Amino acid sequence: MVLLYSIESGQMRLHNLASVCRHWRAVVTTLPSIWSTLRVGTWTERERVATWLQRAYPKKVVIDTQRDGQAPSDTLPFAALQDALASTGQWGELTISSFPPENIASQLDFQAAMPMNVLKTLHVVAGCVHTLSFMYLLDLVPTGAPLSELRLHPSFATAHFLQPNWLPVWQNLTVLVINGRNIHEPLDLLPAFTRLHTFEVDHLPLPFYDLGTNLPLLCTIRKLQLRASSV
Amino acid sequence: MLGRRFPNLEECAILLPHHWGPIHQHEVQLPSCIKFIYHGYPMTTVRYFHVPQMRVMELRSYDCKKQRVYQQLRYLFRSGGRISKLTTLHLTLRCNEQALIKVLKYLGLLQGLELTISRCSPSWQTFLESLVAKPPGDDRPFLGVIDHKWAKCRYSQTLDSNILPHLKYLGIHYPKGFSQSECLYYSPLLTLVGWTREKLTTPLEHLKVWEGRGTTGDIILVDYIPRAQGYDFELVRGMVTRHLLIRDPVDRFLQLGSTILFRQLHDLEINYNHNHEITILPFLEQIKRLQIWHGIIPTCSLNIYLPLFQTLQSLRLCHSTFSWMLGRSFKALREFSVGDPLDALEIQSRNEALQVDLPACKTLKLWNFSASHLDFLSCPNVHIVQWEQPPVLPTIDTEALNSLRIFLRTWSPLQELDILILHHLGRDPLIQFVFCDAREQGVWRDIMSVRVKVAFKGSPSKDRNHFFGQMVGHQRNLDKYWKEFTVTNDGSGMIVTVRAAM
Repeated sequence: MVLLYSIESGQMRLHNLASVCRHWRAVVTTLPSIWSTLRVGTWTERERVATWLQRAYPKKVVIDTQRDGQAPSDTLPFAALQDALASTGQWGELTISSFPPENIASQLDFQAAMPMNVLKTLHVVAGCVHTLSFMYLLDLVPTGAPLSELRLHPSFATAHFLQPNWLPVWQNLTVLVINGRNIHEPLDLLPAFTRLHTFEVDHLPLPFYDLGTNLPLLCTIRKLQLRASSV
Repeated sequence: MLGRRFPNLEECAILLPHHWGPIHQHEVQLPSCIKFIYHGYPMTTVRYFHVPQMRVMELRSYDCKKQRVYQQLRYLFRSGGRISKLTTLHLTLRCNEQALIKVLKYLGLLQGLELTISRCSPSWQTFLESLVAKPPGDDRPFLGVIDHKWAKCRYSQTLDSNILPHLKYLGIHYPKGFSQSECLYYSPLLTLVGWTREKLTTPLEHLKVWEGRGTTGDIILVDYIPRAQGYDFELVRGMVTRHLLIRDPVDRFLQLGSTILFRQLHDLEINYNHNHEITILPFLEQIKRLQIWHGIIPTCSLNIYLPLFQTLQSLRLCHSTFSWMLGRSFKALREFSVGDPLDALEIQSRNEALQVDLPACKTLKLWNFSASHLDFLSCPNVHIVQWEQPPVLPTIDTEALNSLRIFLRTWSPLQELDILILHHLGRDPLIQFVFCDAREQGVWRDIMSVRVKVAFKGSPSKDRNHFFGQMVGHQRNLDKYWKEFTVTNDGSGMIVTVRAAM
């Protein structure tokens, strides 16, 4: 109980808990859920990726290249990210807080990456910049992915997933956060949502639907935020 | 959304909406919505969202017309009881707060109120005053001059408020930031709101004030209901009452009776030009240094204990009453200065053998303080005594100087003595005592220096010259008592100073 409480409360680091005794170490190393998130930055050690691959389930990845510490002498930049790309086929959640600039990201080898066939949640944080390599990464998300949650704060990421070929994904979404600053024509989007319970929109032109139009989201929606959008 | 019904929507935020016009023809039904947020212009649009279950509302109005905003708020908070169940309200107003004050009475169940204001208008004070809790049955505006009823009120456990009686959280955000004068003006009032509402049946738990926009680390937060003893820097800064100078008898600080108001106050100077009553002393719980000019301090029963008896370290009373100190012990007072007490005659006529007990007093400065009043003072550990008698007011008589000599004998730890006297009133016996007899008899074991200034104003110069020569002639006799002995004339030729030191 004490161990589980310590893990849940997040007050102690895992390696501290694992060093209490052999039994605690065994528990800590065999609980997949507590290893599930890999936070990968510029100087993340490659061993972390190896451990994560071995222990984590489900596999959640946070790419954040701006909050790294000092560069260690024996690690190449983005080596861990390159290693992690080899497991994209197993990623269940992906959060991109920041991404390497194109002059560096272009050196990443996406050949080894697989389609993110089990991806359920994608979160692109505001401030991410549109680059070719970033789009290579987004292209790894197939239209057949079981996505239920899309949080796309940059307008370029929104534009990518609002293409008509993503219609099957829209139907299954429960959470959608989008920024339509680059979309100028009203987008006929709402009738597609059949499960949506959270819908947050920024600068999105929406068409007028007469009262006879069937909009399933009227009954499913629980949280709605419309910013600078048509009401 | 127009004309639609969202049966399961629990949270709805409409921020800067586009194409809101048609909504005015077809109401939107949100039967399950608990939290509703609207930022935009015109505010009128809000009324077309039917939100019967709403408990939390955030409203940002960009309307500068206070009458229009008032009408809208009044409509919202009254119409059909739509918002009567509201428990949390976040309100951002461009106009002044008058619009809000008028509708507060409709928000009886409100538990949380967060306000963002663009400027401090005159009505801001009215708004804060309306939130101050009062004793039950007291409908007077609070900011009258403090009286005994309010003084008792600080001990009262039950206060009452008709305005927002269930409020637990009050947050005020002022992006522009308070100027220094605004800060001085409003901080006591905010503190008073916090203090009095803590005593309601439903006590206020948080009263927080933010300054700055909060986007670039410029935000300043002050909590006026500190729960912990470890006050952070910002909190102390926000109280702004650590050192206070009051010159105006109708100053707001004197009208507010609250120990919370003066919780940080260590140093208070009340400097009036004319005599005025001062009633805030019971509220000074941390005061260390107090200076009062022309203050009439009420005398209260000896059964009533004031915190300053324990905390005060330095006290200066100039042209103020002194009798309030009689019968009291000032445990920490190290420096006491008193001159020309207003109630000198009253003290003289008192029959009780009451003294002011100053057990820790090291420095005593007295002027225009009759030597016959010295028996009201008990300061057995005094090191430094100054007695200054302006030559223009010759009120020391020979008998009083005899009293002074008697008291000088009782101050055995004396180290420094400084006296100014008039030449014709018991001068010679006093000089004989302080420079010769006291040393010969070992009255002061630690004496370091004695200085007597003798004023000759209005006297012939031959008197002064005679005295000067007499003192210089004494020098040889005094060598056995003092290492240094000097006699000097001041520039004006009216004062001869005799000084001896070890």
